[in-house]
Amino acid sequence: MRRVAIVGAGITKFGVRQATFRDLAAEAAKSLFDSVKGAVKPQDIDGIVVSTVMPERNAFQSHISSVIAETVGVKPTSISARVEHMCASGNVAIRLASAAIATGMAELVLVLGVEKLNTPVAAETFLNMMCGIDREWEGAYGLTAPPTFALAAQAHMRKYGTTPEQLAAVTIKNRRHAANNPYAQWPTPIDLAKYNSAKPITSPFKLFDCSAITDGAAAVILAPEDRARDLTDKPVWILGSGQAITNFNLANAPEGRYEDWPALRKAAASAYGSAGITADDVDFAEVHDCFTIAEVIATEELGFCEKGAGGEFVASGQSDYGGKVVINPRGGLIGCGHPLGATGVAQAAENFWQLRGEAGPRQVPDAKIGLAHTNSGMPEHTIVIYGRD
Amino acid sequence: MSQDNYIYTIDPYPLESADFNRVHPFFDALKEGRFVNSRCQDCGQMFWPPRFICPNCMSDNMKWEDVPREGTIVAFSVQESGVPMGFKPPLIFAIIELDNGLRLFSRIADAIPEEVEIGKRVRFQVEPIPNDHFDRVLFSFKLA
Repeated sequence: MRRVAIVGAGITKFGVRQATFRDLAAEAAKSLFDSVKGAVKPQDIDGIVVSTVMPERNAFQSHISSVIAETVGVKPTSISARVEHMCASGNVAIRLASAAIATGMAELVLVLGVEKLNTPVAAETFLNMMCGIDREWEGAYGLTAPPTFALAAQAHMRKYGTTPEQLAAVTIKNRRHAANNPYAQWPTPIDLAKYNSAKPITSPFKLFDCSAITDGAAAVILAPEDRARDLTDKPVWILGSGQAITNFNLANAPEGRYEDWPALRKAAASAYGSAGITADDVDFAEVHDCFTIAEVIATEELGFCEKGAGGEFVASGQSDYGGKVVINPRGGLIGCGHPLGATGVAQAAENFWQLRGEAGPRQVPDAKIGLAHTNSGMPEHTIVIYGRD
Repeated sequence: MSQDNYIYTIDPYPLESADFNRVHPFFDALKEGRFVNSRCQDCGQMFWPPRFICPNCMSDNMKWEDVPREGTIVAFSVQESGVPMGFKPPLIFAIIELDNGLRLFSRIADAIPEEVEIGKRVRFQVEPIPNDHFDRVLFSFKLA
C-alpha cells in the first residue's frame, strides 16, 4: 500500500453566498489551483471524488461528480464518484480517495466538498434537512438535527453535571478562533451575555449552541508518496483513519443512552490504531461541533479527557491554545458555519495549513499531528489523522 | 390539486398505501385506529421502525400484531424555532418506551411544554395529516 498525502488545499468564504452550487465548487477549485502555483493543473488530475449531501433537494442536481469535474476542468481517467454520508461526507470522501490512491487505482485525486444550503426561505432548507435523518419515521413528524442533539445535552447534563456555562464555553472559544479565520461565516467573538440573550431553539439549546445554515466549498489534492514529494516540499500525510456506526433511528441508541457515543470510541480506536498514535500525540483536532454538546462529548470519546469531564475540559481552557490540545483552531462548525459536504474537506484543508505552519494568526505552535472528526448524527463517526514529515 | 399532478417529493410524508409501500399494514391499521408492529416468526424479534424483512435473520415471515397503546416518556426536547416548513412550533419530540419495552420516536401532541416530563405516562393516538392529497395518517402520543 502506498502512503498518501495532501499536496494542496483551497476553500471558499463560508456563509450566505450569492453563488450557485457549481459556482461554489469553481471558487474552491480556483483557490486550490491558485495556491499550488502551477505545480498541479486541472488537466493533471486523474480522479475526482465530490462530497455533497443534498444537492438533489437544494440545487435540483444529481450526477454530481461529472457536473463538478466539467466545472473545474477535470477529465477523470481513474475514478469519478460522489460521496454522501450526511455531515461526515467530506471525511468519508477523503478516506475513499486515499484508499484508491493507496491501492494504485488512482494517482492525483481532487476531493471537493460543496454544499449550497441557503434557499430564499430558510424553512425550506429545514424541510430538506429531513432527508438527512430517518425521513419516513422521524422527518415526517417534523424532526431535524437540533432536537436529537438536545437529547444528548440533557442526558449529559443530568448524568455528568455539565452546565449551560460549559456549553457556552464551546461557542465562546470557537467564535474567538473563527475571528482569526478569513473564511469563517462568523469571524466575530461573542461573550456569555450575548450567548445567554439568544432565542431558544430546542431545549436546552439557544441560537449560539447551533452551527448555521451555510454555503461553502473546500478542495484538496491527494497524491501517492512519490508524486507528493515531487509536487511539494511539505506534504501532509494521511496517517490513519476510522469510521463506526451503531444505529440510525434515534430510538435505537445503544442502551437507550444519548450521552455516551460508543461509535466514536470505536472510530477513534481504529484511527489511532492505524496511525500508530494515541490521543496524547494529537496537537490539534478539528472536531464536529454541530452543536456545543457535540464538541463536549467528542473531546471525551476521542480520549482527550475522562468521560463526563468534557464540559470542565473546555471551560478550563484545556482545549484552547496553551491547553492539552487545541480543539477547532479554524473555529469549528459554530464559527465557520456548516456547509455539510464541505465541512470534512475544510477540516482537511485546515490540517494541511496547520501542519505546514501556514495557518497565520490561528497557527497551533509546532503542530505535528492533527485530527479531523465529523459525525453524521450521534451514533455515526468518521475520523482522519494527519501528520507532517 | 389532484393526486395526478401533486409533486410527491414536495412534502416529507411517506406514501403509505399497498401500491407504494410494503409496510402498508402498519398504516392500514393506523387508519382503523390500531397500533401494530411486525414480529419475526422465525427469530421472534420486533424492531423499530416496522419491517417486512427481519434485519436479524433475513426472514420474510413477519406477522403484524397489536402493540401496547401506552408507554412512558424516556427523553424529549421542545423545539421552539427553526422548524421545517409546514410545521408549527412548539414541537415536542420524544422517545417513548411502550409497555412491552419497545422504544420508538414520536411527538407529544396537544400538550403544554411545561407539563411534559421524563417518566410521564403517554397514550397513542392517530393523527391525520391535514388537507393531505393521499389521506395519509401519522401517529403521536398525548399525556395520559
